[in-house]
Amino acid sequence: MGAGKSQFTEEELQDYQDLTYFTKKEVLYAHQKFKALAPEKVGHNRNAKLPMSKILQYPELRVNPFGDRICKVFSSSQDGDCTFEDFLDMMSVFSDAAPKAVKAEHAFRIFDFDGDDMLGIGDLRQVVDRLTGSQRLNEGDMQQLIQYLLEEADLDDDGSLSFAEFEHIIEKSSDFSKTFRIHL
Amino acid sequence: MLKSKSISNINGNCEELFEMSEARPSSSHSQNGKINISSIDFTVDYKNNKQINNVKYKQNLHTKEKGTESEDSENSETANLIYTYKTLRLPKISPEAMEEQAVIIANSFERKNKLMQNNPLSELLRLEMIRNMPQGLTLKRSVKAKLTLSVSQKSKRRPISYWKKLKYQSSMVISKMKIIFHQIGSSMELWYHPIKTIEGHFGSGIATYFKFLRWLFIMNIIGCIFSILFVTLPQILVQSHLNVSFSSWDLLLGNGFFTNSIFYYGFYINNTLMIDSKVAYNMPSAYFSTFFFCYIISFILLCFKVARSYKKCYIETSGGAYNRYANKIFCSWDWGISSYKAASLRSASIYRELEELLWESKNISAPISCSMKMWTLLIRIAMTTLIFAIMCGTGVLLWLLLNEHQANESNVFSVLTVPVVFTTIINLFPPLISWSIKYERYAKDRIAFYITMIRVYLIAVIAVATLLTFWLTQGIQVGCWQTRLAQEIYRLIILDLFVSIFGIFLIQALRSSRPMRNTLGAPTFDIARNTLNLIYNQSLFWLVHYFSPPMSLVIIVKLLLTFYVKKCELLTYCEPPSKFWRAAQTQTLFLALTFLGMISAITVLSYIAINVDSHSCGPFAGKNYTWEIVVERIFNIRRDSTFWNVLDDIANPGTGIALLIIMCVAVFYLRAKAEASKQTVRILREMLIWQARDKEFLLKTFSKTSDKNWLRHRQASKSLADSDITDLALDHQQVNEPSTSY
Repeated sequence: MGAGKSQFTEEELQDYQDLTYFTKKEVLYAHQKFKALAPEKVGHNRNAKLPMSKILQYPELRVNPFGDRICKVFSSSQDGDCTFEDFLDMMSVFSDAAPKAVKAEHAFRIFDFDGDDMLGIGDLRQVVDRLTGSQRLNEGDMQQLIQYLLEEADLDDDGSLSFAEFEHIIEKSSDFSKTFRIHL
Repeated sequence: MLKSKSISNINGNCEELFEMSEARPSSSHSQNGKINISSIDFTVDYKNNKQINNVKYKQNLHTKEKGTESEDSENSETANLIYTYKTLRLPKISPEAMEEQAVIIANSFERKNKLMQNNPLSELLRLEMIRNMPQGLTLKRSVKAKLTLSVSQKSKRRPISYWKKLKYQSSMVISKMKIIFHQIGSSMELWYHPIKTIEGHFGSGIATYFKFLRWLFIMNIIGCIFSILFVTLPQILVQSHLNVSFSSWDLLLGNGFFTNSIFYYGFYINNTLMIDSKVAYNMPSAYFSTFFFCYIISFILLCFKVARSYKKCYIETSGGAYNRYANKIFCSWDWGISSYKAASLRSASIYRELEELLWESKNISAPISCSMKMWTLLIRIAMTTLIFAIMCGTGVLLWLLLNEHQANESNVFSVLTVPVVFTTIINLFPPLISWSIKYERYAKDRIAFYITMIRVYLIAVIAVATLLTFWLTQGIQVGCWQTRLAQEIYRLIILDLFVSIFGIFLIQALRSSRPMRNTLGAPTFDIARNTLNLIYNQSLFWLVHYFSPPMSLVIIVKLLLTFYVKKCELLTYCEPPSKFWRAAQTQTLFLALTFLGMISAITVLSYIAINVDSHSCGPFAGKNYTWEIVVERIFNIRRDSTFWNVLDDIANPGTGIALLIIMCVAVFYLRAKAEASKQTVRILREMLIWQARDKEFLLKTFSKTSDKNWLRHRQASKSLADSDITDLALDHQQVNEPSTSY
């Protein structure tokens, strides 16, 4: 971690430690990982903005069906390109220490493809399609599935899931905080 | 133009509506601030527009202030503050907008007096708040800078009292310690990379096995340090072993050279060591207190772990099991996966599970005929009886073998018979039991799984119990039975290492060879069986640790070997599981079984300390019971003292029964309370639904009336020249007719 240390001042590290769920050491480690994605660029400017294609080379994001969504949600310019701070933010939310509520908030944004603050039928379909990968549910099954899902979770019967409804599901799920995490 | 006006109307309506909904259901909103806020979300999310978002934001602020004026507790405040920002999202953020947003958020923080004090406590609280905001890092930093600035401007420099200073200092020290511990913990996290690799390739289910192993490893290291430092080392200073020749068989059998060495209880001396003329070390007291603390520490650690897991998996999530579809869709992807193979398998398994779920829901199981039910029940009863019979048979067989082979110490095969049979039983039954469960036709996989686990556990319990009963009843005549019992368990631990670690490794290697793979399928990692094996080992260790302090070293080495062998087995031979493992739910079961192991070990040991003769050898030799020496030496209490008499009076069956009854009543009371809370939750949930529906209906009505008013206004002020608008107005009037009756 010696090489990474020279790129940050003590105050900056303290700042990162205060604002994320990481310790200083973990911040430096995260920077190492970030640097590994594009060694030259980050070597020049430690907060360089990397294009989404570079960020998606991170192993966990590479195989994740929502990889591009994750990048977009955390990117400060909204187009999927991430600076180191965006990357750190991402890893901090996915870390073990982040509370369930914060994770739920970001999961909601990741699943909200059209950005209308509701998980509508279109969003849900896309989530299921991405989850099942190469195999696709047939149209009838998909409709049925979405209908069952809404029956279960759509408390106000408006045909889509609001954040409150989504959070309700997440709060009651014992699996979520176990699976919604990426180790640095 | 038209659209924006109608939207602003709706905005206006929202506010009115908000007031109305606040005023009306007095019962629900007084119950819980959070439901209150989420119901506002329902209302306001009606149309998606940036303007509405702003209104919503203001409303949320509004509610926040309302909520926090009462200043109930810190927790509710925290929740309120967090919820404030939850639904605040700006679709495109330019730097100026970001600055604006930072100002808004900072302002809302500034209204909270508690957060804006210029003292370390409120600074910690402030940082916590900022950290929990779902916004980006850059924004957080700017909010933090603003707050720090305004705090330093606001604060008046005046001397603080001594007590306050002390309070702040102590809280700062505590929080700094926390951070330091976290830093140490994260930098020393054992086996971080291997576990991450495993998680990346096989998912978080298998990683929990390795994390459990790591946890046991660390706990045993603590026990090891204590027992070696305070018991074994002082003994080594006096004498470490007798002069007996060493043979390699001794390593396997744990006797011969080891019998009279620091390895076993029997060799520890029962008097005070004089290390030099001034330092005296009382061995019996040291022995007892060291182990007392070892067990207590392990017990407390385990208690916390079990309680946390239970809280996380059952209490906080109770009632969530009904969200079957939602859980499958939103929580089934394992975000820690990092290999393509694991990802595609995960996709396939999600696809299959969704299909299965749909199939189940479509074909709601046809009513099973009565005779069929009876038949299934009969099979289950027969199977359970059979398994119980087998368990009893195992016990009897072990008892006979134990009786037969104890006399002959010198013959290697005679000594090995019992451990070999024991280990065979422990390793042979689990596959049989999990195979036989298929015929019992349990409707749910989970129930079948739990039953299998409990049966497998029972077999182990019965085997170990037989062994213990033998030694505590028949074995006592043998002389130093503590050493002999420890030897017996040592053999079990060593044999288990060969069978279930190396043996399974070889079997998996064989299975992964091409011909076997084609017939039997690729080998997979059985989390349940491996975890049970860990629990079995750990329970044996807890039993024997008291009789053999250096055994902690053996168990540490064994866990180390287990980790690397299993990791190698997994990464070279096994395939990622095709069915994913519900780690969260089974984890509590496994922890509960571990806890049970711990409790039984402690019970047995305290029974031994109080009731079993210990005068023949070891640190407590010369006294009838271990407990006596402890009471006399450590507490300086004589047999005829008042304390002892009072203790005698208290320790009668009557007290036990009274305690039991009190506990039963308490449990019943808590259960009733929990049931009542469940009911309340159900009622509130229903109320929420109805409220949301009411609001939706009202909102529709409002928007219709407002449209009509607007049209009337237009009609009055303008001539009806424009035909388009006339059509529109007519349409609206037609549509609105039913609502006027309302």
